[in-house]
Amino acid sequence: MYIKLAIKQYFFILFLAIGVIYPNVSHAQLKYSFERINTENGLPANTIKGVQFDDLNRFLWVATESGLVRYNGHSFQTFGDNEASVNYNGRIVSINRKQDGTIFGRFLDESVFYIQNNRPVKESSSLKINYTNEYLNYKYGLKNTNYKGQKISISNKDFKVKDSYYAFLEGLRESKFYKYNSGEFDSLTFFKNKEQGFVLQDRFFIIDEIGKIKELVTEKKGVVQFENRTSKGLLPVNVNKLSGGLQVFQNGKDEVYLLNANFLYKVIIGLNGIEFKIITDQLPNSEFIHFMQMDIITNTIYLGTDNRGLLIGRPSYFTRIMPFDYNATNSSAVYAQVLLSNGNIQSNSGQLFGNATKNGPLVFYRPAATNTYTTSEHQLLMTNSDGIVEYDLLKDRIAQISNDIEHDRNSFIQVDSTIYSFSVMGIGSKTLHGKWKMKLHFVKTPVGFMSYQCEKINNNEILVTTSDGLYKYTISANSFKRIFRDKNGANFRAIYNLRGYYLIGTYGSGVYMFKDGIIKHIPLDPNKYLNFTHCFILDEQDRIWATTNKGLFMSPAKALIDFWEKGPGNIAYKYYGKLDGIDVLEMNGGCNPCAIKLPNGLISIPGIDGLIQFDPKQLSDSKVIPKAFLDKVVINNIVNVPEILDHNLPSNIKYLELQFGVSGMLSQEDFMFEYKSDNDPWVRLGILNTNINIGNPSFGAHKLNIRIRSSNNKKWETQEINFYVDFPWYLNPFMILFYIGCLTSLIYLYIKLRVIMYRRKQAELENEVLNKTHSIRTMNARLTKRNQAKDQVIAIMNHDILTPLKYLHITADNLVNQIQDPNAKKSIQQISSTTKELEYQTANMLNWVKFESLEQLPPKQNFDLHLLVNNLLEFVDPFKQNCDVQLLNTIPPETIVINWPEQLRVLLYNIVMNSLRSTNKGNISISIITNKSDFTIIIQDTGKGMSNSMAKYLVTGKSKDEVENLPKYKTGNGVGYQIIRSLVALMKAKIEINSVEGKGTTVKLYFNQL
Amino acid sequence: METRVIIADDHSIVRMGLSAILKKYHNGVTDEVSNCAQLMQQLQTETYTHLILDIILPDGNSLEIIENINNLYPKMSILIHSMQPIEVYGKILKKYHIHSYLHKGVSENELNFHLESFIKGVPLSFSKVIENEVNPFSTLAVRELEVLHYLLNGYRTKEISTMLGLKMNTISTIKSVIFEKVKAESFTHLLQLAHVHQISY
Repeated sequence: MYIKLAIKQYFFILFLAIGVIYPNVSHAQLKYSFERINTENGLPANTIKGVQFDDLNRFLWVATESGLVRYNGHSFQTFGDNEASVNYNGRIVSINRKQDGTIFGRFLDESVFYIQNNRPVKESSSLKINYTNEYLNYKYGLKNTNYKGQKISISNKDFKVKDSYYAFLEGLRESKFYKYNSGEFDSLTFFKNKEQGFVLQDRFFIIDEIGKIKELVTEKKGVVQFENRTSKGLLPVNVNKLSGGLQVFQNGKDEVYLLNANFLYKVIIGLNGIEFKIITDQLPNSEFIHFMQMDIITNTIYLGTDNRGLLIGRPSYFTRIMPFDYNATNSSAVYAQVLLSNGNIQSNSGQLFGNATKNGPLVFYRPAATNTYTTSEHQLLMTNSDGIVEYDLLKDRIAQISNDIEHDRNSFIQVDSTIYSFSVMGIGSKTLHGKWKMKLHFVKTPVGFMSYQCEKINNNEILVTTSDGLYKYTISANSFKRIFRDKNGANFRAIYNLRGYYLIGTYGSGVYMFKDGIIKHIPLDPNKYLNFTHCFILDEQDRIWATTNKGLFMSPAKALIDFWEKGPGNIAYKYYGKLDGIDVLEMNGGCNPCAIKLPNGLISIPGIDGLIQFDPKQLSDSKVIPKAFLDKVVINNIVNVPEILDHNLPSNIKYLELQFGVSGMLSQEDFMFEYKSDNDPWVRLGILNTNINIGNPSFGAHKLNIRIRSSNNKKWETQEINFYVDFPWYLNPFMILFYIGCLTSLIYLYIKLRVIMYRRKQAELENEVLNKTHSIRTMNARLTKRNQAKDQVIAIMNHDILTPLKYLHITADNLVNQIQDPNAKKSIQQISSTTKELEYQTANMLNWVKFESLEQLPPKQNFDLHLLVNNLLEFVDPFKQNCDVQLLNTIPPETIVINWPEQLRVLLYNIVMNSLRSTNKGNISISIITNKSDFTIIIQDTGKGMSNSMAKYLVTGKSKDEVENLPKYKTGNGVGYQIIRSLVALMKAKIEINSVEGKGTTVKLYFNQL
Repeated sequence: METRVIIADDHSIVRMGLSAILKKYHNGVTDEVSNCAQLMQQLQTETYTHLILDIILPDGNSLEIIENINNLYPKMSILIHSMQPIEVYGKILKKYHIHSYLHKGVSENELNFHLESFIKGVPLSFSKVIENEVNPFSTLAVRELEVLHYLLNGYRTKEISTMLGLKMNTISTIKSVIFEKVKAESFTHLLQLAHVHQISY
């Protein structure tokens, strides 16, 4: 069995080897596509006076009749837009390179400029290059000798061979060949005008109009000798007028190119003499090419024409292959592809690609699903309408068609000698030569569920990309579980095992990496092309190629692994698209196999319109380092040189634009240019607009950080640009000091003024207060005096009126008993009663005055209320209106209460006196009801009573109606109830009067004992 | 022994009224004087068994002379008959062994009763009343009451010092003590307190 297998393997390898030796799939020389650059897309004039490619800074300098421009692969930078450099807009007659590599040129007036820091700089006005000797001196840095020989015009055809300098001077029919020596020209020989020279390895060659070559072998004292040399590789020269004949371009030391008709050669010295290596045979016809430069990194050709602008030739590394049998009913879109034994390629839909004449078998005898799989025994598995088909690639025949298990766009994987199949229905398995059996039926899958591709993690675990995310099938457990689904719900389609790091391409969510159960998202490119990544393939240079909807990405495998191991900052990639010759950028995926390696080293990628094939070896991993150069500083629409930033910028700056030139000739997808203004975040700029606009920059110091790199180079090239915007005079720091001084003075003056005002105000207030105080004191003194006078009056009334009245009454009473004369006796009795009345009135007046002026009472006392009432009744007894009226004290003896005895006595006195006045018969009784904390004194009479409103008036003192009716009840002067109300209020008591007219009055006094 | 009564009061009608009542209870002499000087002069010339004395007399406070009277006539019965509250003067009067006090504001019956008792030698006890020491003026000493009398009558420190024969500083000190004891904040306040507590002057 093993021998049989080995024989099969041998034939298969032999078959592949034939494919390598005779690659039938198209693999041509680099193709070039040429783009014309003229006045319609940025060139100042279509008449080119010279081109120079600065391979150090990677700019192309183009001299035209209307000025000098610099080209960075995308746009032109013009010069001469400010007064100092206006000449660069003028007519330039030539542009060349000095011995030290400096590019220089001449204006029409023979003045000279040179390129410094990627900008043209004019030499001093005294320097003019009129003749060849001046030209050679300047170009090769020779001594500016006092030339005495003949003046010869500049032909721009000069050569340095070792330490000798030679120049041609073209005549009408022939060119004179000079040697320039010590400031003089030695005429050596003549050549036909069509003969041209070039220098390689310090050897000088002449090539004639049909390509014959001679070499200068001796030159001594004006005698020269040339010998014929053989050459190889030059195709027969087309000498017709339209071809322009041969043109030699000495672009640098040992860098010589030959142009003839559609051919461009590189001229080298080989083992067999001069060799011509074809760079391209696709030069456009009749373009009057006068100048040629080559970018040897990108193989880009720059051609300056006499009147048709600039031609840029870019190599096409990619070839699009169309199916040879497609028609309107069969799309040219390609998915899974299989290399047939005859060298052609067949896609799963049945299309054939290639140019093999030998008829080969058709693997896809009918359209199959996009997922196919080739086992270790070269059995290609696919699903089509017949079932699961196994095609034997070694025997070129169908080995088996099975309907043993359900099938629908199945994907397959081999683990050991078992093949597993994944479909929407479930998982099936079989041995290499056995029958299919279902291992696991899916209970429920999402709508449109599809498995795209499988990859073995180990002998027990399989990763499966599906429309529902990433799944893992564990063989031993027969479990199929989703392990990751991204937030966009994107389809997980491609999966590639990069030495244990699994690259997973999704449709809509970019690229993931999976390892050891962990999944990480790879950062997207700035244009987000990687969002739709179809498949991955590794080339022989250990680089991963990823196909997308918008071109191809290449990243070194190490960079991807570094991303996993070291972090996202370590990822590097390069983009290939239109500029590299991919004319239809959209590629296809969701199939297996997707991208395949062909035996001839090409990689074949399925595209939306045919196959895309390329040789990865032609695409070098050159790390072009782009640079950014500050070209111009535009301040308020006035263009300035960058050196203006060395000085302070004016304060009236409204608009500041920093115009950068970026070198590298990179595609915009590989170009990364960012800036950061002061402390702002980084801002990314595109390659077509690298101007940084700063509107209304603030005053003071500014810092602008620039960084630039290609996507294929992790290291940023950084610059820091500092500039300073002047403060306006009124914001100058010295002015701020002045303002502070002024402000301080103003504050001082303000404070001073306020202090003066406050003092004045204070003085006024003090005067006012003084006056008020004086007035108050005066009033107070007056009031005090009045109070004292009042007190004095009270004291006098008490001492000198009340007391004498009492004793006058007593005296009168005693006299009554001693006097016999009835008239006198009556008079004395009248005096007695009057004095008693006066005593009562005076006492009441005194009490009124006394209690009206009181605000507080002295502390309460314990006293015997029974005794107090006894004394009171005894006192008022003489005032009875009728002897029949009885005064009754029903308060129990030794009734001790807490109250104010004097005030209570006066209060009861007035109430009882009122009762006495209104009572002609019956009795007046005083009783008490005591509780724990209060007591009520009840004074009840059987007098004539009063109305309720009168009673209310007596209690409150407020009743307009009763005031009007007051005379009806009024028996006294009203002082009694004034005193009663005052005392009730002072004693915090409560009075209640209940009266019935004609029956009597009951007065209740409520007191709190606490 | 014959009852001999002398009444010292500045009001003649008061003296007359008292005399008229006293006649009902004794047949002896009833003399009258109107001030301290006359009283002292009369006591030096005549002998009396009973003295009815007002506290405030026109030429001074009778407290100033009570001690002398006590010394001269230790057996003479003295009745203080005044408008001043007993709780203020009670302690001082006890100190001078005077146990009879009759307020001028009492009723006529009471007046008759007490005068009769006084003449008949029945002492008038005022111990119960004295116990009610809620009156702040009751804490004042004799000299302080003397000075208070003058203060309430509007005399100044210098005048008081002249009348009492004391130094001005002493009078100032006594004034401070009076204000402190009765808790008066000013002279006006002192007057108010005097009214509230029935201190007449």
